[in-house]
Amino acid sequence: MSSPAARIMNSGFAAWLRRDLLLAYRRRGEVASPVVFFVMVSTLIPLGLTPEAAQLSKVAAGMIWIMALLATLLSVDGLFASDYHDGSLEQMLITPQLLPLPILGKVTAHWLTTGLPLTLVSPLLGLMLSLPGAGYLPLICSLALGTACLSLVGAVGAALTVSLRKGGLLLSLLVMPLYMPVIIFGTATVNSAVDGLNWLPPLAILGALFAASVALCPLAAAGALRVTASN
Amino acid sequence: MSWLSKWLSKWLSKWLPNESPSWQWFYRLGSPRWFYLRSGQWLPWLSLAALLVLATGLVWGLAFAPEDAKQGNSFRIIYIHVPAAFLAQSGYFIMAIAGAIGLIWKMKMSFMVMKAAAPIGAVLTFIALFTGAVWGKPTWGAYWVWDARITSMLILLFLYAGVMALQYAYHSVDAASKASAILALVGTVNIPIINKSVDWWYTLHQPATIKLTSAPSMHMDMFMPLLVMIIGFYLFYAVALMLHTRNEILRRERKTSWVRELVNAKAGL
Amino acid sequence: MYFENFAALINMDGHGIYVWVSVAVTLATMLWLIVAPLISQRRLLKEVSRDIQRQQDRDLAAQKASNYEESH
Repeated sequence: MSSPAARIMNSGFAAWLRRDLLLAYRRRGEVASPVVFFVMVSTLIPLGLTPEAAQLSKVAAGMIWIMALLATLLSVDGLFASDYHDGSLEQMLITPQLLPLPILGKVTAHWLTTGLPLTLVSPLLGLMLSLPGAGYLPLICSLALGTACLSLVGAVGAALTVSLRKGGLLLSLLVMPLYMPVIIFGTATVNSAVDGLNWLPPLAILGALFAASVALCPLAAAGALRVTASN
Repeated sequence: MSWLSKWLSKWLSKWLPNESPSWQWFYRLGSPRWFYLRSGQWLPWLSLAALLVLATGLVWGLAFAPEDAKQGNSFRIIYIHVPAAFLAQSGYFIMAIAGAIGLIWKMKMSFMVMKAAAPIGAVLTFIALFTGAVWGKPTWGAYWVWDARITSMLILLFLYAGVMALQYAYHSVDAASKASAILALVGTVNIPIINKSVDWWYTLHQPATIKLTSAPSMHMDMFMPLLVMIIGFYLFYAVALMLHTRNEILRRERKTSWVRELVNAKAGL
Repeated sequence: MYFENFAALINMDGHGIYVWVSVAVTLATMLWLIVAPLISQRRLLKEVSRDIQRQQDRDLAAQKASNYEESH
Protein backbone atom coordinates (compact mmCIF):
# COMPACT_ATOMS: atom_id res chain seq x y z
CA MET A 1 0.00 0.00 0.00
CA SER A 2 2.74 2.45 -0.90
CA SER A 3 1.36 3.87 -4.14
CA PRO A 4 0.40 7.55 -3.96
CA ALA A 5 -3.21 6.75 -4.79
CA ALA A 6 -3.48 4.23 -1.94
CA ARG A 7 -1.98 6.66 0.51
CA ILE A 8 -4.42 9.40 -0.41
CA MET A 9 -7.56 7.31 0.14
CA ASN A 10 -8.69 7.38 3.74
CA SER A 11 -11.62 5.69 5.36
CA GLY A 12 -14.13 8.48 4.99
CA PHE A 13 -14.95 8.41 8.70
CA ALA A 14 -13.33 11.74 9.54
CA ALA A 15 -14.56 13.42 6.37
CA TRP A 16 -18.20 12.53 6.98
CA LEU A 17 -17.91 13.31 10.70
CA ARG A 18 -16.59 16.78 9.89
CA ARG A 19 -19.24 17.30 7.21
CA ASP A 20 -22.12 16.40 9.48
CA LEU A 21 -20.78 18.51 12.36
CA LEU A 22 -20.48 21.46 10.00
CA LEU A 23 -24.04 20.98 8.74
CA ALA A 24 -25.31 20.66 12.31
CA TYR A 25 -23.52 23.86 13.25
CA ARG A 26 -25.28 25.65 10.42
CA ARG A 27 -28.65 24.45 11.67
CA ARG A 28 -28.06 24.97 15.35
CA GLY A 29 -31.70 25.63 16.13
CA GLU A 30 -32.92 22.38 14.63
CA VAL A 31 -30.22 20.37 16.28
CA ALA A 32 -30.98 21.79 19.73
CA SER A 33 -34.59 20.61 19.66
CA PRO A 34 -34.01 17.11 21.11
CA VAL A 35 -32.34 18.64 24.17
CA VAL A 36 -35.12 21.22 24.53
CA PHE A 37 -37.66 18.40 24.19
CA PHE A 38 -35.79 16.46 26.85
CA VAL A 39 -35.97 19.31 29.36
CA MET A 40 -39.52 20.38 28.60
CA VAL A 41 -41.04 16.94 28.72
CA SER A 42 -39.36 16.28 32.04
CA THR A 43 -41.58 19.06 33.37
CA LEU A 44 -44.58 16.93 32.48
CA ILE A 45 -43.53 14.26 34.94
CA PRO A 46 -44.28 16.09 38.18
CA LEU A 47 -47.39 17.51 36.56
CA GLY A 48 -48.58 14.05 35.62
CA LEU A 49 -47.47 12.13 38.70
CA THR A 50 -46.84 14.11 41.84
CA PRO A 51 -44.64 17.00 42.99
CA GLU A 52 -43.55 15.16 46.15
CA ALA A 53 -39.80 14.70 46.28
CA ALA A 54 -40.01 11.28 47.93
CA GLN A 55 -42.19 9.85 45.16
CA LEU A 56 -40.25 11.55 42.38
CA SER A 57 -36.90 10.26 43.59
CA LYS A 58 -38.17 6.70 43.16
CA VAL A 59 -39.01 7.19 39.50
CA ALA A 60 -36.40 9.80 38.60
CA ALA A 61 -33.79 7.48 37.11
CA GLY A 62 -36.26 5.59 34.93
CA MET A 63 -38.07 8.71 33.74
CA ILE A 64 -34.88 10.53 32.78
CA TRP A 65 -33.77 7.48 30.80
CA ILE A 66 -37.13 7.18 29.07
CA MET A 67 -37.08 10.86 28.13
CA ALA A 68 -33.53 10.51 26.77
CA LEU A 69 -34.63 7.51 24.71
CA LEU A 70 -37.61 9.37 23.26
CA ALA A 71 -35.53 12.43 22.46
CA THR A 72 -32.98 10.28 20.61
CA LEU A 73 -35.77 8.44 18.80
CA LEU A 74 -37.18 11.73 17.53
CA SER A 75 -33.85 12.95 16.24
CA VAL A 76 -32.54 9.77 14.62
CA ASP A 77 -35.14 10.03 11.88
CA GLY A 78 -33.21 12.89 10.30
CA LEU A 79 -29.92 11.00 10.23
CA PHE A 80 -30.14 10.04 6.56
CA ALA A 81 -33.26 11.95 5.52
CA SER A 82 -31.78 15.24 4.38
CA ASP A 83 -28.93 13.48 2.58
CA TYR A 84 -31.41 11.26 0.79
CA HIS A 85 -33.43 14.24 -0.37
CA ASP A 86 -30.54 16.24 -1.76
CA GLY A 87 -28.73 13.31 -3.34
CA SER A 88 -25.60 13.12 -1.22
CA LEU A 89 -26.69 9.73 0.12
CA GLU A 90 -26.26 8.29 -3.36
CA GLN A 91 -22.82 9.87 -3.48
CA MET A 92 -22.03 8.07 -0.25
CA LEU A 93 -23.17 4.80 -1.81
CA ILE A 94 -20.92 5.07 -4.84
CA THR A 95 -17.73 6.20 -3.15
CA PRO A 96 -14.89 3.68 -3.12
CA GLN A 97 -14.73 3.72 0.68
CA LEU A 98 -16.30 0.89 2.63
CA LEU A 99 -19.81 2.07 3.38
CA PRO A 100 -19.89 1.28 7.15
CA LEU A 101 -17.18 3.87 7.87
CA PRO A 102 -18.93 6.99 6.52
CA ILE A 103 -22.03 5.73 8.31
CA LEU A 104 -20.05 5.48 11.55
CA GLY A 105 -18.87 9.06 10.97
CA LYS A 106 -22.44 10.28 10.56
CA VAL A 107 -23.62 8.40 13.64
CA THR A 108 -20.73 9.81 15.69
CA ALA A 109 -21.70 13.31 14.60
CA HIS A 110 -25.29 12.54 15.52
CA TRP A 111 -24.22 11.40 18.98
CA LEU A 112 -22.02 14.46 19.46
CA THR A 113 -24.96 16.72 18.64
CA THR A 114 -27.72 14.77 20.44
CA GLY A 115 -26.51 12.14 22.91
CA LEU A 116 -23.68 14.14 24.40
CA PRO A 117 -25.79 17.26 25.09
CA LEU A 118 -28.48 15.02 26.62
CA THR A 119 -25.87 13.44 28.86
CA LEU A 120 -24.51 16.82 29.94
CA VAL A 121 -27.98 18.22 30.71
CA SER A 122 -29.11 15.14 32.66
CA PRO A 123 -27.71 16.21 36.07
CA LEU A 124 -29.93 19.30 35.84
CA LEU A 125 -32.92 17.06 35.28
CA GLY A 126 -31.76 14.82 38.13
CA LEU A 127 -31.91 17.88 40.32
CA MET A 128 -35.41 18.76 39.14
CA LEU A 129 -36.67 15.24 39.72
CA SER A 130 -35.01 14.76 43.12
CA LEU A 131 -32.59 12.06 42.02
CA PRO A 132 -30.66 10.87 45.09
CA GLY A 133 -27.05 12.06 45.20
CA ALA A 134 -25.50 8.67 44.58
CA GLY A 135 -27.19 8.49 41.21
CA TYR A 136 -25.60 11.40 39.37
CA LEU A 137 -22.29 9.89 38.28
CA PRO A 138 -23.89 6.59 37.23
CA LEU A 139 -26.52 8.59 35.35
CA ILE A 140 -23.92 10.47 33.33
CA CYS A 141 -21.85 7.35 32.59
CA SER A 142 -24.84 5.21 31.64
CA LEU A 143 -26.38 7.94 29.47
CA ALA A 144 -23.08 8.52 27.68
CA LEU A 145 -22.75 4.86 26.72
CA GLY A 146 -26.47 4.32 26.33
CA THR A 147 -27.22 7.23 23.98
CA ALA A 148 -24.31 6.05 21.82
CA CYS A 149 -25.98 2.63 21.57
CA LEU A 150 -29.32 4.30 20.83
CA SER A 151 -27.79 6.38 18.02
CA LEU A 152 -26.15 3.30 16.49
CA VAL A 153 -29.23 1.09 16.60
CA GLY A 154 -31.38 4.00 15.47
CA ALA A 155 -29.13 4.37 12.44
CA VAL A 156 -30.10 0.86 11.34
CA GLY A 157 -33.77 1.77 11.62
CA ALA A 158 -33.20 5.07 9.81
CA ALA A 159 -31.42 3.22 7.01
CA LEU A 160 -34.34 0.83 6.64
CA THR A 161 -36.93 3.60 6.36
CA VAL A 162 -35.00 6.36 4.61
CA SER A 163 -36.95 6.31 1.36
CA LEU A 164 -40.42 6.13 2.90
CA ARG A 165 -42.54 9.24 3.22
CA LYS A 166 -43.96 8.64 6.69
CA GLY A 167 -40.83 6.86 7.81
CA GLY A 168 -40.59 8.45 11.25
CA LEU A 169 -43.38 6.54 12.93
CA LEU A 170 -42.38 3.25 11.34
CA LEU A 171 -38.83 3.90 12.50
CA SER A 172 -40.00 4.15 16.11
CA LEU A 173 -41.91 0.90 15.76
CA LEU A 174 -38.90 -0.87 14.29
CA VAL A 175 -36.22 0.15 16.77
CA MET A 176 -38.26 0.16 19.97
CA PRO A 177 -37.76 -3.57 20.72
CA LEU A 178 -34.06 -3.18 20.01
CA TYR A 179 -33.83 -0.30 22.50
CA MET A 180 -35.19 -2.32 25.39
CA PRO A 181 -31.98 -4.00 26.59
CA VAL A 182 -30.25 -0.60 26.59
CA ILE A 183 -32.87 0.98 28.80
CA ILE A 184 -32.98 -2.05 31.10
CA PHE A 185 -29.27 -1.85 31.84
CA GLY A 186 -29.13 1.92 31.81
CA THR A 187 -31.75 2.34 34.50
CA ALA A 188 -30.33 -0.64 36.40
CA THR A 189 -26.99 1.19 36.64
CA VAL A 190 -28.55 4.26 38.21
CA ASN A 191 -30.96 2.34 40.42
CA SER A 192 -28.19 0.06 41.72
CA ALA A 193 -26.16 3.10 42.72
CA VAL A 194 -29.17 4.71 44.41
CA ASP A 195 -29.79 1.48 46.33
CA GLY A 196 -26.18 1.43 47.47
CA LEU A 197 -25.12 -1.59 45.40
CA ASN A 198 -22.21 -1.84 43.01
CA TRP A 199 -23.24 -0.06 39.81
CA LEU A 200 -20.28 -1.15 37.66
CA PRO A 201 -21.64 -4.57 36.52
CA PRO A 202 -24.72 -3.18 34.69
CA LEU A 203 -22.51 -0.43 33.30
CA ALA A 204 -20.11 -3.08 32.04
CA ILE A 205 -22.96 -4.84 30.24
CA LEU A 206 -23.98 -1.50 28.77
CA GLY A 207 -20.40 -1.16 27.59
CA ALA A 208 -20.62 -4.59 26.00
CA LEU A 209 -23.83 -3.57 24.21
CA PHE A 210 -22.02 -0.47 22.99
CA ALA A 211 -19.08 -2.50 21.71
CA ALA A 212 -21.38 -4.90 19.87
CA SER A 213 -23.35 -2.00 18.39
CA VAL A 214 -20.24 -0.21 17.14
CA ALA A 215 -19.09 -3.40 15.45
CA LEU A 216 -22.38 -4.56 13.94
CA CYS A 217 -24.77 -1.65 13.44
CA PRO A 218 -22.75 0.17 10.72
CA LEU A 219 -22.67 -3.10 8.75
CA ALA A 220 -26.41 -3.61 9.08
CA ALA A 221 -27.11 0.03 8.23
CA ALA A 222 -24.84 -0.22 5.17
CA GLY A 223 -26.68 -3.31 3.93
CA ALA A 224 -30.03 -1.62 4.53
CA LEU A 225 -28.99 1.57 2.70
CA ARG A 226 -27.92 -0.39 -0.35
CA VAL A 227 -31.40 -1.88 -0.49
CA THR A 228 -33.54 1.12 0.34
CA ALA A 229 -31.71 4.21 -0.91
CA SER A 230 -32.09 3.30 -4.56
CA ASN A 231 -35.88 2.95 -4.35
CA MET B 1 -24.19 -11.05 0.13
CA SER B 2 -23.37 -12.75 -3.15
CA TRP B 3 -19.79 -13.31 -1.95
CA LEU B 4 -21.26 -15.57 0.72
CA SER B 5 -23.14 -17.70 -1.81
CA LYS B 6 -20.04 -18.01 -4.01
CA TRP B 7 -17.94 -19.10 -1.03
CA LEU B 8 -20.59 -21.57 0.10
CA SER B 9 -20.94 -23.02 -3.40
CA LYS B 10 -17.17 -23.43 -3.69
CA TRP B 11 -17.00 -25.12 -0.30
CA LEU B 12 -19.94 -27.38 -1.13
CA SER B 13 -18.63 -28.35 -4.56
CA LYS B 14 -15.46 -29.62 -2.87
CA TRP B 15 -17.53 -32.19 -1.03
CA LEU B 16 -20.13 -32.93 -3.68
CA PRO B 17 -19.86 -33.27 -7.47
CA ASN B 18 -21.61 -30.53 -9.42
CA GLU B 19 -24.37 -32.64 -10.85
CA SER B 20 -25.04 -34.46 -7.60
CA PRO B 21 -28.76 -35.08 -7.18
CA SER B 22 -28.62 -34.33 -3.46
CA TRP B 23 -28.55 -30.54 -4.01
CA GLN B 24 -31.14 -30.46 -6.75
CA TRP B 25 -33.88 -30.43 -4.14
CA PHE B 26 -32.52 -27.15 -2.83
CA TYR B 27 -32.61 -25.42 -6.20
CA ARG B 28 -35.96 -26.93 -7.08
CA LEU B 29 -37.36 -25.39 -3.92
CA GLY B 30 -36.53 -22.07 -5.50
CA SER B 31 -39.10 -22.60 -8.22
CA PRO B 32 -42.51 -21.23 -7.23
CA ARG B 33 -44.27 -23.56 -9.66
CA TRP B 34 -42.60 -26.67 -8.24
CA PHE B 35 -43.40 -25.57 -4.69
CA TYR B 36 -47.03 -24.82 -5.55
CA LEU B 37 -47.65 -28.17 -7.21
CA ARG B 38 -45.79 -30.22 -4.61
CA SER B 39 -47.36 -28.48 -1.62
CA GLY B 40 -50.75 -29.09 -3.18
CA GLN B 41 -49.96 -32.80 -3.03
CA TRP B 42 -48.62 -32.74 0.52
CA LEU B 43 -51.26 -30.53 2.10
CA PRO B 44 -54.11 -33.04 2.54
CA TRP B 45 -51.84 -35.51 4.37
CA LEU B 46 -50.13 -32.87 6.46
CA SER B 47 -53.47 -31.31 7.46
CA LEU B 48 -54.84 -34.70 8.47
CA ALA B 49 -51.74 -35.43 10.54
CA ALA B 50 -51.92 -32.01 12.21
CA LEU B 51 -55.61 -32.43 13.01
CA LEU B 52 -55.15 -35.90 14.50
CA VAL B 53 -52.13 -34.98 16.62
CA LEU B 54 -53.71 -31.75 17.88
CA ALA B 55 -56.99 -33.49 18.72
CA THR B 56 -55.16 -36.27 20.54
CA GLY B 57 -53.01 -33.87 22.52
CA LEU B 58 -55.89 -31.58 23.40
CA VAL B 59 -58.23 -34.32 24.59
CA TRP B 60 -55.42 -36.00 26.50
CA GLY B 61 -54.31 -32.81 28.19
CA LEU B 62 -57.73 -31.36 28.95
CA ALA B 63 -59.56 -34.49 30.03
CA PHE B 64 -57.10 -37.22 30.93
CA ALA B 65 -54.02 -35.65 32.48
CA PRO B 66 -53.95 -35.18 36.26
CA GLU B 67 -54.36 -31.72 37.71
CA ASP B 68 -51.54 -29.76 39.28
CA ALA B 69 -51.23 -29.87 43.06
CA LYS B 70 -50.76 -26.12 43.48
CA GLN B 71 -52.68 -24.61 40.59
CA GLY B 72 -55.57 -26.99 40.13
CA ASN B 73 -57.17 -27.40 36.76
CA SER B 74 -56.23 -24.01 35.33
CA PHE B 75 -52.75 -25.38 34.69
CA ARG B 76 -54.24 -27.21 31.69
CA ILE B 77 -53.81 -23.98 29.75
CA ILE B 78 -50.17 -24.99 29.59
CA TYR B 79 -51.10 -27.39 26.79
CA ILE B 80 -51.85 -24.39 24.59
CA HIS B 81 -49.66 -21.67 26.07
CA VAL B 82 -46.30 -23.45 25.92
CA PRO B 83 -46.60 -24.84 22.36
CA ALA B 84 -47.82 -21.47 21.09
CA ALA B 85 -44.91 -19.65 22.77
CA PHE B 86 -42.48 -22.25 21.42
CA LEU B 87 -43.75 -21.88 17.88
CA ALA B 88 -43.84 -18.10 18.14
CA GLN B 89 -40.12 -18.07 18.91
CA SER B 90 -39.23 -20.77 16.35
CA GLY B 91 -41.42 -19.02 13.81
CA TYR B 92 -39.32 -15.88 14.09
CA PHE B 93 -36.15 -17.87 13.44
CA ILE B 94 -37.78 -19.62 10.48
CA MET B 95 -38.74 -16.21 9.11
CA ALA B 96 -35.22 -14.86 9.62
CA ILE B 97 -33.59 -17.93 8.04
CA ALA B 98 -35.90 -17.64 5.04
CA GLY B 99 -34.89 -14.00 4.76
CA ALA B 100 -31.20 -14.87 5.01
CA ILE B 101 -31.51 -17.55 2.29
CA GLY B 102 -33.31 -15.05 0.10
CA LEU B 103 -30.59 -12.44 0.60
CA ILE B 104 -27.66 -14.84 0.09
CA TRP B 105 -29.00 -16.95 -2.80
CA LYS B 106 -31.35 -14.27 -4.22
CA MET B 107 -34.23 -16.73 -4.13
CA LYS B 108 -37.56 -14.97 -4.43
CA MET B 109 -39.27 -18.16 -3.21
CA SER B 110 -37.50 -17.78 0.11
CA PHE B 111 -38.73 -14.19 0.41
CA MET B 112 -42.28 -15.41 -0.18
CA VAL B 113 -41.91 -17.91 2.67
CA MET B 114 -40.57 -15.13 4.89
CA LYS B 115 -43.54 -12.90 4.09
CA ALA B 116 -45.94 -15.77 4.80
CA ALA B 117 -44.30 -16.66 8.11
CA ALA B 118 -44.75 -13.20 9.63
CA PRO B 119 -48.52 -13.09 10.28
CA ILE B 120 -48.59 -16.72 11.43
CA GLY B 121 -45.90 -16.06 14.01
CA ALA B 122 -47.60 -12.86 15.14
CA VAL B 123 -50.92 -14.66 15.68
CA LEU B 124 -49.17 -17.43 17.64
CA THR B 125 -47.48 -14.80 19.81
CA PHE B 126 -50.89 -13.24 20.44
CA ILE B 127 -52.28 -16.66 21.42
CA ALA B 128 -49.36 -17.15 23.82
CA LEU B 129 -49.96 -13.72 25.38
CA PHE B 130 -53.73 -14.18 25.62
CA THR B 131 -53.56 -17.65 27.19
CA GLY B 132 -50.78 -16.45 29.47
CA ALA B 133 -52.96 -13.58 30.66
CA VAL B 134 -56.01 -15.79 31.19
CA TRP B 135 -53.82 -18.28 33.07
CA GLY B 136 -52.47 -15.51 35.24
CA LYS B 137 -55.87 -14.60 36.66
CA PRO B 138 -56.51 -17.71 38.76
CA THR B 139 -52.81 -18.20 39.48
CA TRP B 140 -51.60 -14.74 40.44
CA GLY B 141 -54.89 -12.84 40.73
CA ALA B 142 -54.25 -10.43 37.85
CA TYR B 143 -54.60 -10.67 34.10
CA TRP B 144 -51.34 -8.96 33.35
CA VAL B 145 -48.19 -9.41 35.41
CA TRP B 146 -44.91 -8.06 34.07
CA ASP B 147 -42.94 -11.24 34.49
CA ALA B 148 -39.93 -12.11 32.34
CA ARG B 149 -41.64 -14.49 29.95
CA ILE B 150 -44.70 -12.40 29.20
CA THR B 151 -42.56 -9.30 28.69
CA SER B 152 -40.29 -11.20 26.28
CA MET B 153 -43.36 -12.44 24.39
CA LEU B 154 -44.68 -8.90 24.12
CA ILE B 155 -41.36 -7.67 22.72
CA LEU B 156 -41.45 -10.58 20.24
CA LEU B 157 -44.88 -9.38 19.12
CA PHE B 158 -43.44 -5.92 18.50
CA LEU B 159 -40.60 -7.44 16.48
CA TYR B 160 -43.12 -9.29 14.30
CA ALA B 161 -45.19 -6.12 13.93
CA GLY B 162 -42.08 -4.24 12.78
CA VAL B 163 -41.24 -6.80 10.09
CA MET B 164 -44.83 -6.83 8.81
CA ALA B 165 -45.09 -3.04 8.82
CA LEU B 166 -41.85 -2.74 6.85
CA GLN B 167 -43.11 -5.30 4.30
CA TYR B 168 -46.21 -3.29 3.57
CA ALA B 169 -44.50 0.11 3.58
CA TYR B 170 -42.57 -0.40 0.35
CA HIS B 171 -44.18 -0.42 -3.09
CA SER B 172 -41.33 -2.28 -4.73
CA VAL B 173 -41.64 -5.97 -3.83
CA ASP B 174 -37.89 -6.45 -4.12
CA ALA B 175 -37.02 -3.63 -1.71
CA ALA B 176 -39.74 -4.71 0.73
CA SER B 177 -38.42 -8.28 0.83
CA LYS B 178 -34.79 -7.32 1.26
CA ALA B 179 -35.47 -4.65 3.90
CA SER B 180 -37.68 -7.01 5.93
CA ALA B 181 -35.05 -9.72 5.66
CA ILE B 182 -32.40 -7.38 7.05
CA LEU B 183 -34.73 -6.32 9.86
CA ALA B 184 -35.58 -9.96 10.66
CA LEU B 185 -31.87 -10.79 10.89
CA VAL B 186 -31.19 -7.80 13.15
CA GLY B 187 -34.12 -8.94 15.32
CA THR B 188 -32.76 -12.49 15.46
CA VAL B 189 -29.42 -11.28 16.79
CA ASN B 190 -31.29 -9.22 19.36
CA ILE B 191 -33.72 -11.88 20.61
CA PRO B 192 -31.24 -13.68 22.92
CA ILE B 193 -30.00 -10.30 24.18
CA ILE B 194 -33.56 -9.13 24.85
CA ASN B 195 -34.54 -12.39 26.55
CA LYS B 196 -31.53 -12.37 28.83
CA SER B 197 -31.93 -8.66 29.66
CA VAL B 198 -35.60 -9.10 30.53
CA ASP B 199 -34.77 -12.17 32.64
CA TRP B 200 -32.13 -10.20 34.50
CA TRP B 201 -34.43 -7.18 34.87
CA TYR B 202 -37.13 -9.39 36.32
CA THR B 203 -34.83 -10.93 38.93
CA LEU B 204 -33.87 -7.41 40.00
CA HIS B 205 -37.42 -6.57 40.89
CA GLN B 206 -38.89 -9.92 41.89
CA PRO B 207 -36.60 -12.13 43.90
CA ALA B 208 -39.07 -15.01 44.13
CA THR B 209 -39.77 -16.28 40.64
CA ILE B 210 -42.59 -18.68 40.09
CA LYS B 211 -41.47 -21.41 37.77
CA LEU B 212 -44.66 -22.50 36.10
CA THR B 213 -43.42 -24.67 33.31
CA SER B 214 -40.11 -26.15 34.32
CA ALA B 215 -40.46 -29.31 32.31
CA PRO B 216 -38.01 -31.55 34.21
CA SER B 217 -39.97 -31.21 37.41
CA MET B 218 -43.21 -32.07 35.64
CA HIS B 219 -44.68 -35.48 36.11
CA MET B 220 -44.52 -37.76 33.06
CA ASP B 221 -48.30 -37.97 32.97
CA MET B 222 -48.46 -34.22 32.51
CA PHE B 223 -45.46 -33.91 30.22
CA MET B 224 -46.48 -36.43 27.54
CA PRO B 225 -49.58 -34.55 26.30
CA LEU B 226 -47.47 -31.37 26.23
CA LEU B 227 -45.00 -33.07 23.90
CA VAL B 228 -47.85 -34.24 21.68
CA MET B 229 -49.27 -30.71 21.56
CA ILE B 230 -45.89 -29.25 20.62
CA ILE B 231 -45.61 -31.70 17.70
CA GLY B 232 -49.20 -30.91 16.74
CA PHE B 233 -48.48 -27.18 16.73
CA TYR B 234 -45.41 -27.70 14.55
CA LEU B 235 -47.54 -29.62 12.04
CA PHE B 236 -50.17 -26.88 12.18
CA TYR B 237 -47.47 -24.27 11.56
CA ALA B 238 -46.26 -26.19 8.52
CA VAL B 239 -49.80 -26.36 7.11
CA ALA B 240 -50.47 -22.67 7.73
CA LEU B 241 -47.09 -21.70 6.27
CA MET B 242 -47.72 -23.73 3.13
CA LEU B 243 -51.18 -22.23 2.67
CA HIS B 244 -49.97 -18.66 3.09
CA THR B 245 -46.93 -19.26 0.84
CA ARG B 246 -49.13 -20.72 -1.90
CA ASN B 247 -51.25 -17.59 -1.68
CA GLU B 248 -48.20 -15.37 -1.98
CA ILE B 249 -47.03 -17.38 -5.00
CA LEU B 250 -50.39 -16.90 -6.72
CA ARG B 251 -50.38 -13.22 -5.93
CA ARG B 252 -46.91 -12.61 -7.35
CA GLU B 253 -46.99 -15.04 -10.27
CA ARG B 254 -50.52 -14.51 -11.54
CA LYS B 255 -49.34 -13.13 -14.87
CA THR B 256 -47.20 -16.16 -15.68
CA SER B 257 -48.20 -18.90 -18.08
CA TRP B 258 -48.10 -21.77 -15.61
CA VAL B 259 -50.68 -20.09 -13.36
CA ARG B 260 -52.94 -19.52 -16.36
CA GLU B 261 -52.59 -23.16 -17.39
CA LEU B 262 -53.47 -24.15 -13.85
CA VAL B 263 -56.63 -22.05 -13.86
CA ASN B 264 -57.59 -23.31 -17.31
CA ALA B 265 -57.11 -26.90 -16.19
CA LYS B 266 -59.31 -26.26 -13.15
CA ALA B 267 -61.98 -24.60 -15.30
CA GLY B 268 -61.78 -27.43 -17.83
CA LEU B 269 -62.51 -29.95 -15.09
CA MET C 1 -60.84 -39.75 32.19
CA TYR C 2 -59.62 -37.62 35.08
CA PHE C 3 -63.07 -36.09 35.71
CA GLU C 4 -66.11 -38.10 36.85
CA ASN C 5 -68.57 -36.81 34.29
CA PHE C 6 -68.96 -34.32 31.49
CA ALA C 7 -70.28 -31.57 33.76
CA ALA C 8 -67.14 -31.81 35.89
CA LEU C 9 -65.05 -31.52 32.70
CA ILE C 10 -66.74 -28.24 31.80
CA ASN C 11 -66.57 -26.86 35.34
CA MET C 12 -63.07 -28.03 36.31
CA ASP C 13 -63.53 -26.97 39.94
CA GLY C 14 -64.30 -23.41 38.99
CA HIS C 15 -61.30 -23.03 36.68
CA GLY C 16 -63.25 -24.26 33.70
CA ILE C 17 -64.11 -20.80 32.38
CA TYR C 18 -60.43 -19.86 32.08
CA VAL C 19 -59.42 -23.08 30.39
CA TRP C 20 -62.32 -23.22 27.95
CA VAL C 21 -62.10 -19.53 27.01
CA SER C 22 -58.41 -20.03 26.21
CA VAL C 23 -59.15 -23.13 24.17
CA ALA C 24 -61.97 -21.39 22.30
CA VAL C 25 -59.94 -18.30 21.43
CA THR C 26 -56.95 -20.42 20.39
CA LEU C 27 -58.97 -22.72 18.16
CA ALA C 28 -60.82 -19.78 16.63
CA THR C 29 -57.62 -17.93 15.71
CA MET C 30 -55.94 -21.09 14.42
CA LEU C 31 -58.97 -21.81 12.29
CA TRP C 32 -58.86 -18.27 10.92
CA LEU C 33 -55.18 -18.74 10.03
CA ILE C 34 -56.21 -21.71 7.88
CA VAL C 35 -59.45 -20.38 6.40
CA ALA C 36 -58.25 -16.88 5.44
CA PRO C 37 -55.64 -18.06 2.91
CA LEU C 38 -58.13 -20.53 1.43
CA ILE C 39 -60.66 -17.76 0.81
CA SER C 40 -57.92 -15.54 -0.56
CA GLN C 41 -56.72 -18.32 -2.85
CA ARG C 42 -60.19 -18.77 -4.31
CA ARG C 43 -60.46 -15.04 -4.91
CA LEU C 44 -57.05 -14.94 -6.62
CA LEU C 45 -57.88 -17.88 -8.90
CA LYS C 46 -61.15 -16.21 -9.84
CA GLU C 47 -59.26 -13.03 -10.70
CA VAL C 48 -56.86 -14.96 -12.91
CA SER C 49 -59.71 -16.68 -14.75
CA ARG C 50 -61.38 -13.30 -15.28
CA ASP C 51 -58.08 -12.00 -16.68
CA ILE C 52 -57.91 -14.95 -19.06
CA GLN C 53 -61.51 -14.39 -20.12
CA ARG C 54 -60.85 -10.71 -20.79
CA GLN C 55 -57.76 -11.60 -22.79
CA GLN C 56 -59.73 -14.08 -24.89
CA ASP C 57 -62.50 -11.54 -25.52
CA ARG C 58 -59.89 -8.99 -26.59
CA ASP C 59 -58.23 -11.49 -28.95
CA LEU C 60 -61.65 -12.42 -30.40
CA ALA C 61 -62.54 -8.77 -30.95
CA ALA C 62 -59.16 -8.10 -32.58
CA GLN C 63 -59.66 -11.14 -34.79
CA LYS C 64 -63.09 -9.95 -35.88
CA ALA C 65 -61.74 -6.46 -36.60
CA SER C 66 -58.92 -7.78 -38.79
CA ASN C 67 -61.37 -10.11 -40.64
CA TYR C 68 -63.61 -7.14 -41.38
CA GLU C 69 -60.71 -5.11 -42.67
CA GLU C 70 -59.51 -7.92 -44.86
CA SER C 71 -62.86 -8.45 -46.51
CA HIS C 72 -63.40 -4.72 -47.24
